[in-house]
Amino acid sequence: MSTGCEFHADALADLAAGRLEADRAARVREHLATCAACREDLEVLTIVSRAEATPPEGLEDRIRAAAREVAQEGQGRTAPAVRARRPSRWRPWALPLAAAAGLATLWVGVLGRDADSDDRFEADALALAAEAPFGAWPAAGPVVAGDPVLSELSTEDLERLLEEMEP
Amino acid sequence: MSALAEDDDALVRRAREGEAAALDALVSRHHRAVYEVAYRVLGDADLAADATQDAFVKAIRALATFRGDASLRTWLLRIGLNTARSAGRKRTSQREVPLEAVSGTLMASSDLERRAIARTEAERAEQALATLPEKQRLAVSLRVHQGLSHREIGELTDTSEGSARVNYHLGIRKLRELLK
Repeated sequence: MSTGCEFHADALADLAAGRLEADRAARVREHLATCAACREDLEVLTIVSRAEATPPEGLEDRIRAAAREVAQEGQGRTAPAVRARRPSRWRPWALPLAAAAGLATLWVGVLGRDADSDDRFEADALALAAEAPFGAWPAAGPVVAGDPVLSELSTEDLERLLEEMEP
Repeated sequence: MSALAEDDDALVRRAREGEAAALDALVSRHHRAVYEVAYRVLGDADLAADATQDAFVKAIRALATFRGDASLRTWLLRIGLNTARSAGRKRTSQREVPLEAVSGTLMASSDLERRAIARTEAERAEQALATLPEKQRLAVSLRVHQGLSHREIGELTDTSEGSARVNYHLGIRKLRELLK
């Protein structure tokens, strides 16, 4: 994975699905020209994007009719119960992996990798990335990439991390 | 303002007042995503369609109690997920993923050869997705097909945003192996 993946990896799903805005797509494509790993991911995501589960014909009308009927009945009662989150059982040996997960959480809304990306922040982040090579990312700063951290973990470590996060 | 241009909150307010056009708009806007969730859980187009309809019926009945703590989309998807899981538990035997369910997913193209290739790829992706554990399947399909964020997927699956992201990575990693 080359430098820059951290700013574009999450946008690959949107690019594969044709949802990315033109200017953002152009920047991702610039990165793709130099990154074989992201090109490979995009290839997988493009194939996956063709397997969208499409509702059978007539389902929308069926649901609309049922919804109108229910609304006319004026029935309105209990909302579905929302289960409480299960507490995590953290263990000391899992702390490094937990840190990776925590950093991953910091990612959303900060680096602009979701659809509502903040271009200005992204530019700042890219400038910082240019100053600090990939291996020198600050450990506790806001500009810490979630996906690259996770991408560098082995599958076994990812699964172990998940076990700790979802006991 | 057209119904499509309105945000969900405005549509919910109008739907609570019994306005049919608002209900229609809510169904139009969200039924595909709810169906995607149901289909990924059940792996059967007919069962997923029934579960989607049931989910909307439950949601409309509960609309008065929707507080807006989560987005309407996440709330609807959560109802869809619970409904599909419940339907799955009632099913006595696991059916194989119907390949014909994929046929409606292909992009329109006048090039028959490209369509055939795309169909083959869609079928392979469909089969590969079906082999993933449910949370990985949902993390990948909802991110790719419905554009949900990892945070939304975490809320939906009752896990953290970080877990949803890990599930997405694991899913993509397995799909890369399966689709080589």
